[in-house]
Amino acid sequence: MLFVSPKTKRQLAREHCESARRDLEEGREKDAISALFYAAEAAVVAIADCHDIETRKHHGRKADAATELYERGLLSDDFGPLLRELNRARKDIW
Amino acid sequence: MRTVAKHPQTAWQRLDDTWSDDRVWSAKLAADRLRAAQNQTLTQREITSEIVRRAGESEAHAVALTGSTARNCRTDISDLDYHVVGPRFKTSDLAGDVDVHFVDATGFWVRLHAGDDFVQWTLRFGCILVDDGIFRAGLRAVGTELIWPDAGAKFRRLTEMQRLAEQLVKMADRDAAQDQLRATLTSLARALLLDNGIFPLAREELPGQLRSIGHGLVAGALTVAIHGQPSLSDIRAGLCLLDDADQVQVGKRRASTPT
Repeated sequence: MLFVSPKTKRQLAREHCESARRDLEEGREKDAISALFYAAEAAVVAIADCHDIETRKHHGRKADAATELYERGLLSDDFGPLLRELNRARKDIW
Repeated sequence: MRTVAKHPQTAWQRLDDTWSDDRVWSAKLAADRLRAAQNQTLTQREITSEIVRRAGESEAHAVALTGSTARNCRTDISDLDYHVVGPRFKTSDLAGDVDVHFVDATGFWVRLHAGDDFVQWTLRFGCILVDDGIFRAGLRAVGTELIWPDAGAKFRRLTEMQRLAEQLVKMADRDAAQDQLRATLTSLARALLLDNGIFPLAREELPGQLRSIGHGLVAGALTVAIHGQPSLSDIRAGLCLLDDADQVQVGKRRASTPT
């Protein structure tokens, strides 16, 4: 059985972003990095899904999808490097 | 530095000062390069060549292919992992699954002696591709000083990792919650194995190692977290294992007790 989140990726991106803002304001930097990563990733997947770009469950493929969205002119910036940096950062803090 | 009497030893791990022999060391490097070539696809080999080239330009001390590729047991979620001792160089333009872990020479030694298991993992199981002597000296230190990774550090992190996973479940982000559950259970598995004198292998191999020491429930949950698509309630149940397992509680208590 395939289980999915009851919330859309767009909705999750907004909630993670809000969570990151709160974490930063309240001094939880580690949590903020994770929240920012999940926010960026959910936002990219939300757009990639609209354009049938495969992301599946691999973080690297989501970063590649962000680059593909940029190369296809669907995003004005390439967020692939940012996703990779945030992914590395959230691993490093543990 | 942590030493234990029950330091495990396998036939190919030379946990003595054998690495001081130049011929033995040369043979190991040749075997590592061959293993790296055999375990990678053509595309992965090209990426590895590029990493080695950039490391050379930045005058890195050492480069190793590490992680599941080095063990030839990649999964759908595996990264292509490298361990570089030297200055950081650009990698964000490489394929998405490339993950390069940088550390400077001082940090390498500090982490090795502080009980960091990732540094030792690379030394024990990684494919050493470039080495100016630091990896060799590290391996000799592991063998002669019987340095063993600190299971306590892993137990100490579990509470925070579990809290983050629970937040993601509460937010109903199933994908992120599974990701964090997998990271938490992987850390738990490594803590339990190290605490039992067994060096953890690649993630795919952890469930088998866990079963061998009687942690079948954690092994099952980790397998689902790696290969399955659990529901939010399955993920919640997986996180409960951190509250249930006796050895986890003992490990956490011991890790939080000042010595």
